[in-house]
Amino acid sequence: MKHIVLITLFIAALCTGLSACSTTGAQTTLYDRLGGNSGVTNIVSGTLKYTLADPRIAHTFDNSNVPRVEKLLIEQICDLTDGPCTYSGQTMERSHRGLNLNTMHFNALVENMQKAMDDEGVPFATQNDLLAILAPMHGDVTGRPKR
Amino acid sequence: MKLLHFTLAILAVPLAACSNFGDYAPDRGRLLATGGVSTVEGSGGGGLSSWATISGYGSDESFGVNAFYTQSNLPDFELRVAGASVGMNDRVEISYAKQQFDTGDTGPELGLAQGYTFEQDIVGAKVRVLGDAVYGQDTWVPQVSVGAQYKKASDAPLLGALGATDDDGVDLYVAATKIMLDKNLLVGGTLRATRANQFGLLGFGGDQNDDYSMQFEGTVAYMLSKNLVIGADYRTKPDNLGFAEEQDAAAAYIAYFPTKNISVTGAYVDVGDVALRGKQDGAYLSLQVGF
Repeated sequence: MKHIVLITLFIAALCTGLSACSTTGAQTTLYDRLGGNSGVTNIVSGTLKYTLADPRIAHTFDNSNVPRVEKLLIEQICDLTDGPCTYSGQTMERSHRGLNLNTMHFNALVENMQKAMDDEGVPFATQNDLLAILAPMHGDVTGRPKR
Repeated sequence: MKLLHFTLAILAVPLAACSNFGDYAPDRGRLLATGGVSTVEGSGGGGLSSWATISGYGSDESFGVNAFYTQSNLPDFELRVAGASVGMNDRVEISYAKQQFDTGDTGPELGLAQGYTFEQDIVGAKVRVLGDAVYGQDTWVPQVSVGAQYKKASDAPLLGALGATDDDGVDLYVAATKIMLDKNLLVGGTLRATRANQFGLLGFGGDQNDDYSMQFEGTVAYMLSKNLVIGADYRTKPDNLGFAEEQDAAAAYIAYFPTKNISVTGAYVDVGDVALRGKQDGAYLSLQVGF
């Protein structure tokens, strides 16, 4: 009998996940849910602020034009989240070539972005919607074969 | 008492990992909670089901080490497990667990000594063969790993008297795990070839069935936040012994990951009837520390 309860819980958890998916989306874009232009701008500048103070990855920006990176990141996230922008930068593979980034670097940036989104009051589920779009870039950013 | 000493010893394992081997040091380079917790058999996963994920937070250029202690108080028995695992390069996982199944006051009623305790050692190895549970968000391909667990139970004469054929055995499994970030969900399934009776605590093979059988483990976990996960595990088990029917096991849990160094899992677990004592269900608490 208890197993039936557990299976119900199983299904309930699945439904929660699926309905969380179906109720978002169609009406508003992810860009809107991230707070539109001001939200995405704050998320990117917060991410860079934490990153440049993060001993794990600050040094990987030593030869970067940070204001330019910031502008392109805002543009790219806007583009990827169905905002009114077109990304004008290089491919992820090209822009990270030679930086010798690894998985730890990649995840350090993700963690800083999570902190920046927390600061912006972005709900956890919305944060994961953005991270789901960015996660597959891991292969190109770190120069690892897609796995 | 012996298990307490063992637990203290095993908790020192992650500390030893603080020492660096040149550049090969723990980098905690993976995301919080993505390594799961420790199963009752020591492998990385949920409480009852082994996942395809590699335990710990070491990235593909690093390693991570975990130690854990789990206790479950059931109506007629008490299960205690202590163990440790090492995850290397997000590719290979080696694990060890010592299980104790204490019959307590039930012992004499089963014709055993007061507090008679079944024991089992489990050494496990797991290798990720394809996919990436976290980064493969643009594909349906799950992370897939294959694993083996060598299990050695104590007290062969008693297990033989209960109808078990062997006091040791090897479980082989294939696990597939998928994280769907945009649904805050982790789902997984594991196929396990095993002859183990009650995870192996009651030996391997038996008078009713002596062959390997294919068993299934299902897992679902929902991320409430970065450091809080609720989930459920379901696991089928063989029914090899004639003297007592063995049933499936299930658990519903909540796991808290305050940092990458510690996790606490509280659960309700039901392992079904054990040794004719009726349904064994109750609270389950697991503490994991790691680097």
